[in-house]
Amino acid sequence: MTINTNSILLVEDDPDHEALAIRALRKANVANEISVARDGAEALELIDRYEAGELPMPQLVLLDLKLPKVQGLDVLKVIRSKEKASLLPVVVLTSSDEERDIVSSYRLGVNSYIRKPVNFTDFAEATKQLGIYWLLLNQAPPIS
Amino acid sequence: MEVPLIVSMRAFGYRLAYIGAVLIVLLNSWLAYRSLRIFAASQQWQTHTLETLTACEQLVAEIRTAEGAARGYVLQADPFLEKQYNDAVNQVWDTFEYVRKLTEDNPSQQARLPRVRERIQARLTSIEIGVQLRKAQPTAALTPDQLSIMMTDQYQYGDFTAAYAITQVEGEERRLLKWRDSQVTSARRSAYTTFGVATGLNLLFLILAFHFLGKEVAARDRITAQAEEIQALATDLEKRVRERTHELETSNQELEAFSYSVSHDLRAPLRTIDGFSLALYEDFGDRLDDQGRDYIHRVRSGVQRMGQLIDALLQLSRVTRTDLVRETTDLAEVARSVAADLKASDPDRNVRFEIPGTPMLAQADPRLLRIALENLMGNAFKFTAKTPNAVIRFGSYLGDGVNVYFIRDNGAGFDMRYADRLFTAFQRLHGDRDFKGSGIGLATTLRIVRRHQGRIWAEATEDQGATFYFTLGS
Repeated sequence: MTINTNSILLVEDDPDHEALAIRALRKANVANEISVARDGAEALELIDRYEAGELPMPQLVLLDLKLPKVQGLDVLKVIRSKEKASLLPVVVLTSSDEERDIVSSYRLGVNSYIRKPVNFTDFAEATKQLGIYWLLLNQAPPIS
Repeated sequence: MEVPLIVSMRAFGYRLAYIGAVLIVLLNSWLAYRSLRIFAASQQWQTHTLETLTACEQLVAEIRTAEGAARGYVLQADPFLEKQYNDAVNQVWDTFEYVRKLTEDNPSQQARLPRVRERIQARLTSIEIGVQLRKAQPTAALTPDQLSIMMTDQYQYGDFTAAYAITQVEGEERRLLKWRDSQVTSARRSAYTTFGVATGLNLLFLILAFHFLGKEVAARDRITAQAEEIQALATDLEKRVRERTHELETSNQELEAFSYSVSHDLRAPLRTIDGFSLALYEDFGDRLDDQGRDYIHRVRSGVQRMGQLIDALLQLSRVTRTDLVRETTDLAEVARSVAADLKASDPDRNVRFEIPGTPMLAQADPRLLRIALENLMGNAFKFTAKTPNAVIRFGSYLGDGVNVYFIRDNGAGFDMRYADRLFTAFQRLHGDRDFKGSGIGLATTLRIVRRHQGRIWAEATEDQGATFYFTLGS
């Protein structure tokens, strides 16, 4: 089993937002491989495969909350229930600033909660900080 | 508890009627008792009179006995007859004394008695003459002279003057008896009448009492029925309130779902527009001229404005939905924090904030109050943008027993003619050209103040500044 320190899992249903997120990450000089899950079910499938060792564990999960099929909070719940994947750093990236979403996310063990600003410049800045923090500064848990 | 006047008057009336009834029943009983007593007394007097009459007759009989015994003694000189005579005389005086006692209450009878005594004495004296003669010569025959004394009619047949005197006493007694008979009769009649009337009146009162009692019971039943009806209405009302509450909860949930969608779904396309506008600018900006780049800039600021509007709308709905949690809040501290944020948002602005250094405590929801002050102070900050020496003051004073808080600025102010439109959502008194804004801030502030059972109002002069006042209920 190899640890791919360069991988990021982006769970995002909107292709526009996916493109913009990837653009922002790239602009922030984040060169890591980015896997994309288009809905909650797809994300769960990937997580099962990570857990089974079929795919390398990513270093960071960027999770949208409002997703088709399975909601983001449920994906988070499943991640935290897995033996290995439970150690994954998960950052919620959402347009919601509803208190209940924030509280539920932290209660389910999210590592960070970021509200996507409308302004893309702000979003790009946030994404840059995110990349620096989680991919460079943060010591990731040793997941095998 | 305050008793209605009409009820207390009715209670007073009943009390009066009760006291009256008791007094009348007592009076009836007393009258009946009195007439009974009169009746009994009259009967007693009747008996008394009969006794007197009997005594008088006995007196006459005893005088006759004395006369007979004396005559026999004179003729036969029998000592037994002498004893009989002496006993009869004693009896006469005893009976006379008895009559005297019986008639002690009657002065006219008493006046007659000396004459009766005198006549009895005279009669007994005349009889005594013969008795003395016989005593002097118990064995010898009486001389014709001696006998002649005894042969007089008066001696033979008795002196009727004594009996006559007694008859007069008797006559008076008979007259009295007749009067007393009538007294007894009238006392009896009066007793019957009084008893009849008293019984009638008592019956009447009993009937009246039961009549009113019945009415009272009926009234009480009616009240009970009404109370039950009211209870039923109250239960029905409670049920309806529960239903309405449920409906309200449902509609609140719908509103919440709507707000949630707004916060996600309306913002998502905006982000796309903005993101790709910027991408267009960054990647193809060099192929556009200044006008093209200006258009991209305008697209992006339009997106910003819409993003702010959505945020403001969300805040407005959230202010209505969230629970109000009152706690002791230092408004001065909140104001200082808001002022610091405002200064940081535009460090180049030269604005002086005047906020008391001492705590300004209120029972309020700190989060909602922060939003309110953010809006009010944010407005003051915004509308003093073109004022050279901008001053924003936060303070409070006691007005009509409640604390009135105010935010005063020396900025653009507004025309008081439009003051009533200030707190309506999307109503703006300044165009975007002069001051940008969502038109929702004051509507949100109004809701926050209302949720605290407070009041908000404003005073302003154009180009000289505005003051917003608010209270927070109790």
